[in-house]
Amino acid sequence: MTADLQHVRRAAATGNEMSGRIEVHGVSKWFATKGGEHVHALDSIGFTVEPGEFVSIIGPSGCGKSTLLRIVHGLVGAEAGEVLVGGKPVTGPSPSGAMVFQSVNLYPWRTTRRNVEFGLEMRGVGRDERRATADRLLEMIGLQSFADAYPSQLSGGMQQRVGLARALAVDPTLLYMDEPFGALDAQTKVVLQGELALIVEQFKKTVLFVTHDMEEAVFLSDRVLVMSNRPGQILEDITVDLPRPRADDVRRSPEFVRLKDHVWELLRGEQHAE
Amino acid sequence: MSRTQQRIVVWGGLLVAWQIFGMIAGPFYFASVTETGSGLVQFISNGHLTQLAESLRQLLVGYGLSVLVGVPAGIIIGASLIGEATLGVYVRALFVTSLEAMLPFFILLFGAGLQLRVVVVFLFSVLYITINTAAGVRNIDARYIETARSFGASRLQLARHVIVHGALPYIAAGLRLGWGFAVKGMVIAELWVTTGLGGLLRDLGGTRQLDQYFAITLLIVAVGAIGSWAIERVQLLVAPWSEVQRGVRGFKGE
Amino acid sequence: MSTIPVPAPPRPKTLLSRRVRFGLLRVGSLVAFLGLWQWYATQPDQYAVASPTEVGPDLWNGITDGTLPNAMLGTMSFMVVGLLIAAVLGIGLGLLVAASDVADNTLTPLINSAYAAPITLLIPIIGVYTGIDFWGKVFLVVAFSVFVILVNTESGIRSVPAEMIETAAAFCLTRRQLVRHVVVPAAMPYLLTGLRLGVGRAFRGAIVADLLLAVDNLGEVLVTAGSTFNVTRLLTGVLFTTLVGYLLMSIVEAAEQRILPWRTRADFGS
Ligand SMILES: Nc1ncnc2c1ncn2[C@@H]1O[C@H](COP(=O)(O)OP(=O)(O)OP(=O)(O)O)[C@@H](O)[C@H]1O
Ligand SMILES: [Mg+2]
Repeated sequence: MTADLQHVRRAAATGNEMSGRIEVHGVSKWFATKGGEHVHALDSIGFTVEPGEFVSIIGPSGCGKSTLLRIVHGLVGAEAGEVLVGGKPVTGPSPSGAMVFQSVNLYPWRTTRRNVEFGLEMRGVGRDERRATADRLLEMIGLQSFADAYPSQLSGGMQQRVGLARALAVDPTLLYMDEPFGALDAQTKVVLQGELALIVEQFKKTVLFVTHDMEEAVFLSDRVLVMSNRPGQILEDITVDLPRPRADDVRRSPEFVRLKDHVWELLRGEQHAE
Repeated sequence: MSRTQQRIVVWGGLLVAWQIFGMIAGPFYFASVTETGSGLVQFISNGHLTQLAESLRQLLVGYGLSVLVGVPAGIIIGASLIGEATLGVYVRALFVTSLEAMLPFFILLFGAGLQLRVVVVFLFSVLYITINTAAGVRNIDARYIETARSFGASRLQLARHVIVHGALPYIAAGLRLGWGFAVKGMVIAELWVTTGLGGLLRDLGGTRQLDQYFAITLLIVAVGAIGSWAIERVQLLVAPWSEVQRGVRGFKGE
Repeated sequence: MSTIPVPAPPRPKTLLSRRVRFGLLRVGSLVAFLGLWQWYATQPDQYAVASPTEVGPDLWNGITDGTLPNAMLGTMSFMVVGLLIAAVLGIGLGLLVAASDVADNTLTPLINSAYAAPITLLIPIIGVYTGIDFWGKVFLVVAFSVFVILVNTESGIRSVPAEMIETAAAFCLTRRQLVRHVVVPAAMPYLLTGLRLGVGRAFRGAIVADLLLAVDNLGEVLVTAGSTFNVTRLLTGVLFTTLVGYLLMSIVEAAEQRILPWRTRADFGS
């Protein structure tokens, strides 16, 4: 029954967004350090994300999650392997994807509204249209009264929301999110998770979501990829078969707790490994 | 005591001390506050304001040129390896040397007239503007650039929407510093060829008319301070989000 | 880094590393610069600029026959005295101003104005007080360099984070210990920056003194060459002065690196 629902959801998404499929094949990444040595960040990563799917990546700090997200979005290249989005190799950031960064990176010289408009402006969208889109999104995230404030005047949680709105503004098919709620307090986090779940369901986005938080991963995702210590490899690809839309009480269901415990077991093994 | 009160007391005290010192030392050695005041009146009634205006005009021309050249040059040096390797090296070499040592050479190249003074003002200030701009560009948070790339910004858009803004506090600090050095360049060039205010200062110094001498000195210092203040105001007007970088830290990008 | 044996990454695709490309560009631009200079200097109706092929040998002669090194030593002699005085004065006053809020409120604006003011304005009148030779020049060097040292010392002390001082207080440090173990180390980078910039300024002050106060030493080399239209010696002098300035800054930077090896060098002084 739940599987049915998901099937319907995916079919709906696939119907209009064929380009949403992400395929990652054997991606490896090294970084050169100052001393001339190399850090092996990612080791033969492979997975697929179907259109409309919400997939989380969880793993120990420094295992290469952010790097993986950057590679998939085309911000950096990999030394081995390839990434296909909609069947085409990724060579640079494509307009179909948008990223919410771990450190938010709002531009301090732009007001909230103009930060949300940024992506549209880069695409040459006219001023009135940009503004309308930005205002609509600001209303959605409840920050319309802060439209003319500068980022330095916003709280951390507000900034995170603006970062999300900025990514949504370009109406991407693919949303890459790097620990968007990592720096938030527990309450704000739960509220924003709920909002994100609603938004993603409403707009049928394909999401690749990096997090440290097991509960967050299970709550939001259709699948959770658990990564090992550096060099990052995928330990397990866990399917989350919980009904949608998910309300907060799903967090107390036995299946939810079981999945969370399973992720924890995998991660705990990694904590000891280093 | 509030800060203003402290200032009134201490600065007032310094003025009084200056006055007393001037009266004890006598006009040959030092001009008192009142003498400097009357020196200012004399300077104006002698019609020397036109000389000041003439010097200011050269100052503005030289400074304006240095802004037009320095900011783009700084962006090129800061943003590209080619710029750094071909331009940055020379800017830095000029920076550690003494431009003053080139004065005898510049006279041969440009004569002793207006051109020389504009060139000296230009060179004195352009280095600071260039180097500060370059430091600002180089110090832009890499994450801002990555963000722009993730939204598909072109190189031109990156320059226009990210680099210029990110470097703005540094550029403004460079413009202020450059202004200060432009004024220094103006003074030294005029002293060197003994024209304009510089010539006047040489005369007044030689004949020990310190009242007018001090007055001119204060005027020139005021020109420097007012320009710097104005640049700061403009910065805050154009970029209300930015902080004003002060002092030495500002221009070295620390 | 990782303790697991790490396979080497595939070779990068670019042929030349960044460093090599940078070096090549630099050498290339130097060659181009010299070529352009040579070309310009040998234009038929051009008399003010000597060519590199004239300046090079002249520089060598000037150095080997002792003219230029002697001139440099003359300039250095009063510069060093002035610099020492400026260092003592600048650090001392910087500490005083930083230690008192009243002094900071009232004196800092004045110090900043003095720092920005053209010191050369003093040249036509200081002879009466200090003479125009050794002590006059020392005075000019001090005036050129003291403020940058002062301002940096002060901002160094003021930049010590309040939490650092609170932490120290929590460990019951005495005031002396606080200064010795917390304030001085934390302010050290600024202090050294101030001194380095001070050296640069002192050098400029010394050249100005030798040119405008009483023509002597390096200034004399330049002025004599200029007034006799010895364009080769003039450029040689300029080049030599540049080299001396460059050498001076390199020495100071190396010293700074030794004292504070953890600080990455990035900037350049005035
Ligand atoms: N630009 C870079 N240059 C050199 N090393 C890098 C660079 N970016 C990442 N690394 C290294 O690669 C490894 C993986 O980094 P990454 O940021 O992807 O980790 P992460 O899983 O996102 O960690 P966290 O959970 O703490 O955000 C780390 O060891 C990091 O030091
Ligand atoms: Mg990360």
